[in-house]
Amino acid sequence: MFRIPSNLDVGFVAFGLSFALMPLALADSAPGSVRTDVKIEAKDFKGTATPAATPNPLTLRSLSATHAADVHLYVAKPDTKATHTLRIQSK
Amino acid sequence: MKPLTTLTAALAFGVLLFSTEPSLAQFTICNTKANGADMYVTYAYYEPNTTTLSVDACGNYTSVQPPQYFIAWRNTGWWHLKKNQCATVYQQPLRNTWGYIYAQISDGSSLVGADTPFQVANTEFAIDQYYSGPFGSCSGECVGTSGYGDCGSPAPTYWYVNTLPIHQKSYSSFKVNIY
Repeated sequence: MFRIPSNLDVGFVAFGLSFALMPLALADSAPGSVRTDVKIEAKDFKGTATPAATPNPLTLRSLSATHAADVHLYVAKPDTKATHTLRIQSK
Repeated sequence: MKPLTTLTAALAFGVLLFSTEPSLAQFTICNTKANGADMYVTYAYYEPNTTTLSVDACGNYTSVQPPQYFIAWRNTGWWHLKKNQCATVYQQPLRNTWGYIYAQISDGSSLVGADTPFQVANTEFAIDQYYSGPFGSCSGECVGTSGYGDCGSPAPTYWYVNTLPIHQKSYSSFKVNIY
């Protein structure tokens, strides 16, 4: 029924545990990492020499290329210590 | 199957499950509008230490050599979200407590409280704005360079839009559901 684990078994278990716990360790360490607290105050910055804006109104039809690869289906997930969901109204 | 072998297999399965989860450090925007409207969204994030400024949607840039650096806000877009779709618009650990989002929504609505102007283009873009610098000493010669991208034809069109400040606090992963 029971046998003394071989080195290979112990290695597998140790590797599995460390790998499985890695995301949790990263999540805990991220909030403690250096994080700046900067909000835009227009007087503190100079604008870039960006191209002039068009006088035509922006509409959905104006837009073309998108980052389609990063889009996925919505899945509701509960918040955790490291993650947060904010609901924002549009009207 | 021997007990320990079973345990090993179970752990391996657990590892596989964890490894298929998306990265925990990210910013996500979701379209949860009930009326079926679709939207295009953008996300702007703070860059406290960058050596290259992207000045337009064509790939034109200005850069300096370390240890010199710029401080800037990089606005990125677009992601097209249909009903109940989400976009991971930033896939690194959040480094600032504030970010800015914008949504162009097909039902004509706009984000409540949006008040901070950012420039956007009609094409896929990443434009640095509100920059300052360069900072840092460059003992000897300060060498900066400029480069040119390809604007294509027709060239991108630009607008200023009002983005909404998002207080990301110290969360490593943040999701915004627009309803």
